[in-house]
Amino acid sequence: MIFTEFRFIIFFIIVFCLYWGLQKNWYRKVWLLLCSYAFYAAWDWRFLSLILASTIIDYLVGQMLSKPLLQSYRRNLLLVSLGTNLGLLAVFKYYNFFADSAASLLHLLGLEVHAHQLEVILPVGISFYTFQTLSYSIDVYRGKLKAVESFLDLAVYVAFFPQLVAGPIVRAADFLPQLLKPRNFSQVKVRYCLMLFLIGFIKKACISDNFAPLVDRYFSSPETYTALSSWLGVLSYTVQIYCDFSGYSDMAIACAGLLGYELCLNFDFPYFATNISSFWRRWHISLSSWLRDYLYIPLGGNRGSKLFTYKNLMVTMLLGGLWHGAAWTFIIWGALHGVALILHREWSRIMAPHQQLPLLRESLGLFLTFYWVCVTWIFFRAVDFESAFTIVKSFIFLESSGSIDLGIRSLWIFALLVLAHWAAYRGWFSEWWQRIPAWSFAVFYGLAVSAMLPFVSTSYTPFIYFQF
Amino acid sequence: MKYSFYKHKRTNRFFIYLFYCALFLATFSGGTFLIRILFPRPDIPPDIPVVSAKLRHFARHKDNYNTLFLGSSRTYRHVMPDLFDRSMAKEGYEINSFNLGIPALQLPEAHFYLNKILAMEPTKLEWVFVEYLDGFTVRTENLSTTREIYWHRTKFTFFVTQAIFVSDYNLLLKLQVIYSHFIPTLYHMTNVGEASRIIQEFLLGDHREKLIDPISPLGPLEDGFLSLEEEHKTQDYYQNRHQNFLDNIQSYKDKVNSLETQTVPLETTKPHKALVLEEMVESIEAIGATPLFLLAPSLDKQPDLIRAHSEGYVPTLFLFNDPTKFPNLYDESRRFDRDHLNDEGSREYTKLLAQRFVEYLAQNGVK
Repeated sequence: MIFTEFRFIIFFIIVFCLYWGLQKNWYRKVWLLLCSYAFYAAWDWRFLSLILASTIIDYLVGQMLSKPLLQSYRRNLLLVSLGTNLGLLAVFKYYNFFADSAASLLHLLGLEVHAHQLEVILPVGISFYTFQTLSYSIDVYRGKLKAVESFLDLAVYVAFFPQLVAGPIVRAADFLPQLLKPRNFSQVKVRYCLMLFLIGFIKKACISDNFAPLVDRYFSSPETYTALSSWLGVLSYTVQIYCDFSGYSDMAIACAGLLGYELCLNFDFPYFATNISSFWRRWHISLSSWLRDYLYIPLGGNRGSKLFTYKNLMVTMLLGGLWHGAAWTFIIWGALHGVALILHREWSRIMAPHQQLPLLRESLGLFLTFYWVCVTWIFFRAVDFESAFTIVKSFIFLESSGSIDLGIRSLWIFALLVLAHWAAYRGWFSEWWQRIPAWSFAVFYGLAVSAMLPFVSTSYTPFIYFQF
Repeated sequence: MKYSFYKHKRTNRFFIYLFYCALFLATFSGGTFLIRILFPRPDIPPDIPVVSAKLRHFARHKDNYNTLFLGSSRTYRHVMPDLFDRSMAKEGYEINSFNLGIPALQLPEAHFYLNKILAMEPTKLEWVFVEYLDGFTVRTENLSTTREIYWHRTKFTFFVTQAIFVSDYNLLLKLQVIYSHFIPTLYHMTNVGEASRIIQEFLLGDHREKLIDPISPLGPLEDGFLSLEEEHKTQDYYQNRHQNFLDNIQSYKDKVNSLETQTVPLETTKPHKALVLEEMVESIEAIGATPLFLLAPSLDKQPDLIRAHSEGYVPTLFLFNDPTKFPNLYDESRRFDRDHLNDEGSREYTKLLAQRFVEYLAQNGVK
């Protein structure tokens, strides 16, 4: 059940009406839990057992950790949680990748080994909910969070349907306190949530899905296209992935908001970042902050020599790449971002005493950051290394043996989108709909939805981040 | 004390929210309606794989054809109009046929395209071969495709819903099937995808046609027949399908053997199918053409169609789903996969069809 489907709208209306119709907080949480499980079951009911298993184990671990125990015993309990959650990921997501890679390596060394493949379907959202449950057990272990008394609260936190399948990755410390307090409808920012949902819907169904055929066409056989087409193909993907993912996050945050829960901002206009560090503070914020708090800092962060810091940065980005997908192209994507972050750190250190011409530096920084992000998206999207390098050669060096031209018409649409994005970034048109009377807003919303639906692409594309 | 319903705050708020919802729905409906008036859908949309090309072709050449083949991929990939026409010409019959086979076609959708073709008023159309089709439910993954949205007009969906109501499905299945038709109808009514088509054309230009139909579905002879082997050459999907058939040949042979020995229970024609079949027959006869129903060489006995024929819903029925009568059509050397013939099998089938048609014409005194 995708957010842009009609049946999700019906599902949510039912959830919403019954949720606010119930008076007691406990009843509301039970209702939310049942609906969340039903939502997940609509994808594949067989994998409900995985979410339940992860929740039960982390609940028990949390309960044990809240007791006074020896440090070694506490560490073992944490390892149980880590082992379970990362084990699920390892089996369902990474086993075949590692088996194949090991077999390839052994083949290079002259040993013929046949890698046994597991025939498993990747459970939707597994990378997201395992990271959420990990954040719970790690925070309880560190003493930053008290273990929840009620299994229901933890179950709702893990399975909460707005963010279950594609984020944002919600921290237990942010969400669990909200579950303890009864929600009040008068505190819900209805207009803001409705507008956010509409914007997310437009980004996903009207922009991202409309670019998908062009992107698929280019990336399926890049060697047949001209160098100019490589720019159009890569830029189209840059737009597609941002609109797809941020659109989904917007809709998730809006749905949660309408139910009275606040989720963290996940995208903050990342393409306007003037350096790569800033980009990572604006792109998939919930993941980058998770990696920072649960991987980079425990590894030592920047509390050591320069080389030590860079090693930690690189490991974090490599694993961040691997999180996105079980393929070497994703690891390369992570590595490229790691290299860029390291270079930026060095550059900032060198340029610290020289702060002249800030506007020129920011403009150059914006262009270079965007250019580098586009280059890395090539590895993220390409089907294999061969086509990735073909596209890179075409994109960076403008060398291509292909003759098919995608045409430059899409540049007009890029220009419009950049303008709209800039307007949103500057906050233009973000005030008036908050000030008009409620009945005017209802009229405006009705007209906006009727005008938006014709732009919905009917070549259906599930969210890019679903198989992560 | 009299309880004042309207003075209760919570009730007040509820009715206010209800009012805003009603206002939203009213402006949404009004906006949708206005867009439909100002920007009507094209009669034949350009972006439905196979369907667009075939409808466009037929619209341009409708007065050339006196025979039409309507069906699923078992028509699209099996009936060679050129060979059929030549076989009929050898027997002294002048036939000019077109293959309107559409992959994954189901009965209600076939009825829609039939109406579409007949509404074009083809002046010379005399014979309409309709392959019997099963299935009444739109698959979930297809609910928002251009093809499903195109044919789900309100009036037509209402007719399909009527048919489902009279069916012998249990209540849950009826609701599921009705839902599967309701969604594309709603998308049709709310103009979903109309502007997206224009954006896609703008973005992709000439590449869009290749995306919709990588190979022309009209086939090399532009008669609507395109063999699986023609697509087999270029698309991995079809190569894998044929290989899968070869890897599971024993299960296919077992199924053919069981088909030979299977007795056909005389079930009553399913009421919903009877309704659609009746309407199709009426529509064809209304323009002075003759409907002829076909059962392709499939692995199903289709007892309800046999019954429909015996009950008079289907006036003429040509059966080819009998391995004892047509062993060649079931031989694995004539098959692309379980459900489809290869080129050689299609040639044989077309010739058998022509032969059967000649017998029919002779029996009915048609010269």
